[in-house]
Amino acid sequence: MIQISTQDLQLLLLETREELSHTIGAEEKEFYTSIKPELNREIRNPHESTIDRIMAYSKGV
Amino acid sequence: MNFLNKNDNELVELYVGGKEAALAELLRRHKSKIYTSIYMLVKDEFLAEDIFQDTFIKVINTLKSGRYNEEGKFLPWVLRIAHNLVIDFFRKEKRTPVITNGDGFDIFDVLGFYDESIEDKMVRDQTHKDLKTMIQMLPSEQKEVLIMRHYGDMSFKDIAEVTNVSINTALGRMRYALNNLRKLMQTKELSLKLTS
Repeated sequence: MIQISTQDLQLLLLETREELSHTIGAEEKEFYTSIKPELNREIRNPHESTIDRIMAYSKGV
Repeated sequence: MNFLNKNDNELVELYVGGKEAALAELLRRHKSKIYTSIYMLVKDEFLAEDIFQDTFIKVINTLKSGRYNEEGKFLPWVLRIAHNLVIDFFRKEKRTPVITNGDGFDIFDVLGFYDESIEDKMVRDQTHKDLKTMIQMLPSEQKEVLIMRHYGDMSFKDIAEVTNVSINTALGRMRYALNNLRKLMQTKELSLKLTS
């Protein structure tokens, strides 16, 4: 479990807001690329039964 | 009829014209983007299934009633419907998404870090294991943009439209999200090193 206090988090977020401009720089892109494999592990699909219900609804409309 | 070589707009037209299989193809093509985007916001599998289903009920009703006018933008339109349903849910529940650190997520199982010591690897493993939790710690508007961009594969222009902000603001939120995640990961890594 992560143990970071709300105060620490608020300080982090405040610092970040102050130093940002509205572009995504090379550093952010590099970091984003580095976490993509982990983010992709979260990709999932709905159950087939949900798809079946949607298709059944569609046919009934 | 082969639907694989049809674009989304053509599939919508075929569906409106009575080809039910065109909807099946749209679902096959986009279900994981839409479902994962919903799931990452609500962090509850059953609720995500319900919202996914409700999203497509709205999609079907709109298409079949001839009220669809989002030519060429099927996926962003569906994601906007899903996004609004998620907001409605939390508004009704009067709560914000729960912070969870669920299901034995072991991020670096498949990646090698051969130059690291065992200790460094453990620190890194633990840090990345908490990535999901860190995403949930982000302010909701930053989390939204990260999810729409990564899981919904949306352009910043489309994200801006869905969230009613300028493109610059959407870009800024993405940058805030990435910077905050990086800082949280660095802080976590540092605290693990200090306690080990």
